[in-house]
Amino acid sequence: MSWFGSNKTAVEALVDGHYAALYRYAYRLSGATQAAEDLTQEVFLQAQKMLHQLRDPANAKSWLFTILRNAYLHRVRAEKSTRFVSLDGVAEVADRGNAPVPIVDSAQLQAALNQLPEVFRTPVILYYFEDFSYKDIAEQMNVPLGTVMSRLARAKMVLRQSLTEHAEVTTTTAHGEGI
Amino acid sequence: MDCQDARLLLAFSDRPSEKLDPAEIQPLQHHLEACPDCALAAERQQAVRGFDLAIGSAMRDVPIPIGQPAMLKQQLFGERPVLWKRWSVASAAAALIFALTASGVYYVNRPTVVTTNDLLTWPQQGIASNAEDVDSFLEKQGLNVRSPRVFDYSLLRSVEIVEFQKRRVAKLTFIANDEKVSASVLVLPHRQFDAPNQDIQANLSIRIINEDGYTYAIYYQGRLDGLLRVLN
Ligand SMILES: [Zn+2]
Repeated sequence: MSWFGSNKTAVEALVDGHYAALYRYAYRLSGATQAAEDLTQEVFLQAQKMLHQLRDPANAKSWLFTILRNAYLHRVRAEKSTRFVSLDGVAEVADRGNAPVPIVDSAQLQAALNQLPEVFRTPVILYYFEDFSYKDIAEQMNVPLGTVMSRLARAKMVLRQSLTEHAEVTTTTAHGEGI
Repeated sequence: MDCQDARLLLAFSDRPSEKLDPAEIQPLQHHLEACPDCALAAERQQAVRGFDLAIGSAMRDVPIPIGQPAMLKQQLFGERPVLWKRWSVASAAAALIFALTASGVYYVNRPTVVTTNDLLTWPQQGIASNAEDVDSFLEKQGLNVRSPRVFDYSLLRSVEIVEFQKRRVAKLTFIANDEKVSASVLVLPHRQFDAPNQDIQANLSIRIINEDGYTYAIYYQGRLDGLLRVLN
């Protein structure tokens, strides 16, 4: 390893620079703190072993995020298949124009994310993290840019609908209690 | 420009990090003026922008577990665990740990498994035979502090990093050989913490020492004198 002097210094720099972002990603992907801790740890263990593959430190973040997603996919494949919402036909449903913006709660958002199939969940998480361009996201997922764009559009719409429905249910419940 | 290109550019224009090329803006504008479908899509995109910002902010709102990066580094580099214990610490320290937990001190790291080997080799390595060694150990853990000089460090049994008032602080535990005297000391930089909770269980005493820019909150059982350095 040349760009930081030693492997140890390089890996330490990766942990210092990227632990938080990777943990957030792992948490949003897996929906659980323990799984997020384990996944993040696994990423750095793998990174330490494969450090020679990282030629340019400027690519470190993308590289680590890719390792994390692969580690996550490896785990969920080993487990069972969860039932996800179908996104067929979602694109036909229009957003409610200028409706007031509901308060978005982190846990509620996670519940909505958990319903999305991974191929939709990953791009939408990366999109909202604002760390990566569409092109970066496409590369991390190893799919064409157009595929990322269309999955993103649908996933964003599903999230908005799901969070709006939750807000409506909350409002209705609140009113109901007053009666 | 066709509708597909227009929708693509609209998506790009949605992100601050993906500014449109000036050469793309005018053709897009022309297309939107001529195409009601894309104009409507642009309008909808604008309408949900506030919602998008709220989702983005919630998405990034994930608390990071305290102490995990440091633990991870120890694991990656096979370094000594943060939690060091000599063999006899468990029983005597248990009450102290319980009392400290009850008074608002939390363990930052999950206790690391300490092997018998570690325990046997620790004293020989002389990692913490005096306050200066403890300070340099803590510095490696990211805590730049001054341990109390009044204690007899041959009686030091463990050095840990705990959470006190939501910050990482050092906790040193001293135990005299007969285990009837034990003390845990929180090393708190001056003026950065509220006074430690004095409302603790009956068999425990607390003494606060202010010295060298630090507040040392000492929770102890037995005669504290038995843990202090003998001054010549
Ligand atoms: Zn059009």
